[in-house]
Amino acid sequence: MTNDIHLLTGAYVLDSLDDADRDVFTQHLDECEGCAGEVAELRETVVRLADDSWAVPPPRLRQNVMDQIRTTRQLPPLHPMPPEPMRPMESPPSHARPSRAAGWARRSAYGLAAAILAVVAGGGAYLIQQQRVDQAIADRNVALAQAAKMDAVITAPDATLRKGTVTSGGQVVVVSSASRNAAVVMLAGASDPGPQKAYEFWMIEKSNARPAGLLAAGQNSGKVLVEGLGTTDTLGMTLEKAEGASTPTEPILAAIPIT
Amino acid sequence: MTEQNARAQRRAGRLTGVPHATGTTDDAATLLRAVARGDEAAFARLYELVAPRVYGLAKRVVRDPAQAEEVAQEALVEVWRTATRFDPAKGSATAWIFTIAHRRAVDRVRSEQAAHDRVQRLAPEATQTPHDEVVEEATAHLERQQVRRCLRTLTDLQREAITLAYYSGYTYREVAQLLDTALPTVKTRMRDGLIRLRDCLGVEVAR
Repeated sequence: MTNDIHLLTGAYVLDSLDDADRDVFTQHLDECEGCAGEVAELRETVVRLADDSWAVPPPRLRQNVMDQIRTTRQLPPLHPMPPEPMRPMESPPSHARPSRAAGWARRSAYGLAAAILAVVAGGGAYLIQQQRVDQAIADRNVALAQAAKMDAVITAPDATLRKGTVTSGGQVVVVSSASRNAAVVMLAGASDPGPQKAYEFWMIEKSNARPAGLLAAGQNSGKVLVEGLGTTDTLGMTLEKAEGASTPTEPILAAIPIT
Repeated sequence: MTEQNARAQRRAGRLTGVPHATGTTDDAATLLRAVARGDEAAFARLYELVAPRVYGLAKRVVRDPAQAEEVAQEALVEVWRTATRFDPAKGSATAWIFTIAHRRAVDRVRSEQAAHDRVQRLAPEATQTPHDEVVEEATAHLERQQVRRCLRTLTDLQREAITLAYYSGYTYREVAQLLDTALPTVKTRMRDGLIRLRDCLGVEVAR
């Protein structure tokens, strides 16, 4: 690892180094001027990934944060001489070394053991992580495949977003793409269907309706990938029994024209 | 909108015309300097500017909305507490803020308790996440196509390595396992992937 340690700039700005590697790298960073420039530049790049993660925070967050800052003393300005590493609680969240205070405080014996092992045995630490990684792989593959298909629809050049209201409350958003022959249907804020009922979506063409996806029973929001749109002209939504139905049960709670 | 925005658009070619991080850099830096002097009103304005992305990023990484809210609160209070340590010579204010936020989120998912919940966290977001803000998110997705468009210019390995690390909070050793790829390859792909992303986005370091 030491022979090409500067190649870790990418993993470093992605916060993807474990503690032992990060310590080695930050030490290297102090001695490598070119690295600092590259880190700064890649850091600006990585921040743009946050652009894609915009979400409306709960309204109470603002009040909680404002309340807490009123009782939180600010650190004094930093003197030219870096205070680390003797005062970890005051280590600045600078670009070179984001604050680790909370992380360290929370870090478990397991985490410390892993870090020590990593120092002693190089790559050996990840063996400890093996089990959860194995567990994660199967779920991840399913999730990624589904998410990738949704992404492909949402980012298609001809993606079109349409909204409709649900008569029983809530909103449906349909992002459809003729070129992908697919749509992503999103339900938000619908009324609670109850544990034995589920919301189901339909591809409607004239008077025919084909099943287009089913939310889990009791779920009042969620996303469904609809493939094989064909000449569907309307996306519909009904309330069905938990396992879904082959034909829609009246009433149609929402109907969004997509052509 | 600002000249800077227009410049960012020229740099990156065809864009959606939606303001993004580069359009708010100056504002965030100005506000952050005021925050460093203890200006609570400036902090409130900074909150409006960055909270949706701080919260969204936390939610994307930790998945659980309640934990994401905690992480976002911790990160934003940390911004207040350490604003005096922000050094504009080292990078933009937004980079500084989102570095804190991402670090907090990653710390959270790597804690032992979070490891316990990790499999649940990986369950398909697409079908199970109880979103309250699906509409806003869908709109945001469409508005922020530039990042996605640029991500698509990467190789599969570059893109997966970067998104697994950044959005899922994995260490690069874990990423190597997940992608069944040698460790040196993963770290190289993270780096050259980010460099390609930088070129596509037209990122400049604010100095």
